[in-house]
Amino acid sequence: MKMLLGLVAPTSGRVQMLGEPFSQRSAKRVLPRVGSLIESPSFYGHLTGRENLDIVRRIKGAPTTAVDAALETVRLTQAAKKLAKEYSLGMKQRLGIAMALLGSPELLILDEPTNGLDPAGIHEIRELIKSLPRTHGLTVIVSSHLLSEIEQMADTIGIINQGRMLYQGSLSGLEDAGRLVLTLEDAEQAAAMLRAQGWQIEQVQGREVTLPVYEDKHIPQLVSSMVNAGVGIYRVEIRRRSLEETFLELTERAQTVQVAA
Amino acid sequence: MTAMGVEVSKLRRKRLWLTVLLVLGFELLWIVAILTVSLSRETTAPHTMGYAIGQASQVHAIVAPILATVVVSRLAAMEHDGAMLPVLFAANQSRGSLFLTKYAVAATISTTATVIVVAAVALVAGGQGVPADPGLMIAWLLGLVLANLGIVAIQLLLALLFQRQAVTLTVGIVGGLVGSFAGFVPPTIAAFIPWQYPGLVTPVRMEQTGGTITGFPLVDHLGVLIALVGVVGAACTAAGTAVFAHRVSR
Repeated sequence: MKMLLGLVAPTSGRVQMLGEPFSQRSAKRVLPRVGSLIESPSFYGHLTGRENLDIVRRIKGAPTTAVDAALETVRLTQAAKKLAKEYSLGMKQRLGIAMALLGSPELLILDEPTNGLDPAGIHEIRELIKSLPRTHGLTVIVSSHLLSEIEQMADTIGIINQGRMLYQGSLSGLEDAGRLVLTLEDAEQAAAMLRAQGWQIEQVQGREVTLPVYEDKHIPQLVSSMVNAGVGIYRVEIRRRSLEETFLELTERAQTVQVAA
Repeated sequence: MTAMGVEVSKLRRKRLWLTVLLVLGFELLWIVAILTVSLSRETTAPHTMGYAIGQASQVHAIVAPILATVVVSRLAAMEHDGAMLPVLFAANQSRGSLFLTKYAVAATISTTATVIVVAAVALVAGGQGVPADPGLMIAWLLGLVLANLGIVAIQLLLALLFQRQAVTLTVGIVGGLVGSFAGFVPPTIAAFIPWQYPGLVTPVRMEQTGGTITGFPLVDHLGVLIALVGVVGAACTAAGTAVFAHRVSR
């Protein structure tokens, strides 16, 4: 994230931002098109929220009206005259996002924006971030270790492990078709019966029978055949791996490949 | 100008003036006390403006580096405390611009303090019946203003590079103590120690015979010393800007 903003120099390789190779020279052109919130919320504690925003606005060369608009977007208008050091962590984070929004950037880079927030704060920031592409027409890049958060926010994701990009693409590209899991009173007996009827059984474990995902139109037939056979059905569900499970699988696989190499 | 205006805006509610007032007030009290006592005594040395400068410069040589250090430290701590440096750089403020803006603010404050000190010496000495010597006072003032430049640049670089201001403050305080020995160090050595510059550009040197002050004659080649201090100050400023501008972590 810092490399994308020229705050840290890459040890090797090149950075391209908004279609331009990033260098000290091109930074003058690229940075005004980018807003960012890196690490912990940054602010001058002795200044009010509005004064903080005005300082960043003047550096970015944005119009005076941009401050009110940014305050409105992050819902800090009421607290604009309060000293930033008196803000709650969530408010400080929102102030940081407001600073990033000044100058109408095309791209917003947010590094761990929900770090250290309570569940209500996380929800608040998540909803704010999700609304920005729609309300401001910008692209948001969010880095986070909280994969469940990313799952709820992102359309396109990248998984980086030890400096290497393991996956980049749509979130749906990582989602597997899932498995149809039946939780039954007598799984063994039901599995034998279903096999005899031609259903494909992948696994029987405890009370659970796992099948591939059948089309919706087949499910009533599956359920009624078990009901007719007197099998007690507790649950019928499709289970998919979470992003966390996919992430762990990808990173473990990458480590195994590295060790083997 | 925008950067300068922004820097001044950041100082709102910081009460930097109070810090300056405390340090400067302490220095002025010390100088007034020294001048009042020494000029009221009968001495073998004639009571000239050179005599007053010689007395006051011993105090100023200690306090000037400390004042510069405290000011730059406050200016830099403001950025470190709020973790604002990455925000400013990501908002497209160049590192060089930030350094030069803070430098300009610190140099302006140091210069103002120097003018007040020189004016106070002239007033107190004049009040004690010492004949005015505008040429000598202007030479001293010019030297002191230029002497501040190198100190401010070095201390500011330290203050911005080190998050812990203890490093900057320690160097500044030690610099102030080193500066107090300026009168005892040959100019050829003092020229390499910027913290000794306020003493180096003092236009008079104390002359003693058998432990008794016999006078404060003018130093030789004062113009060369003032020019040297100015050149080193400019070089320190350029070097400080370049070092900070190219400081990107890997």
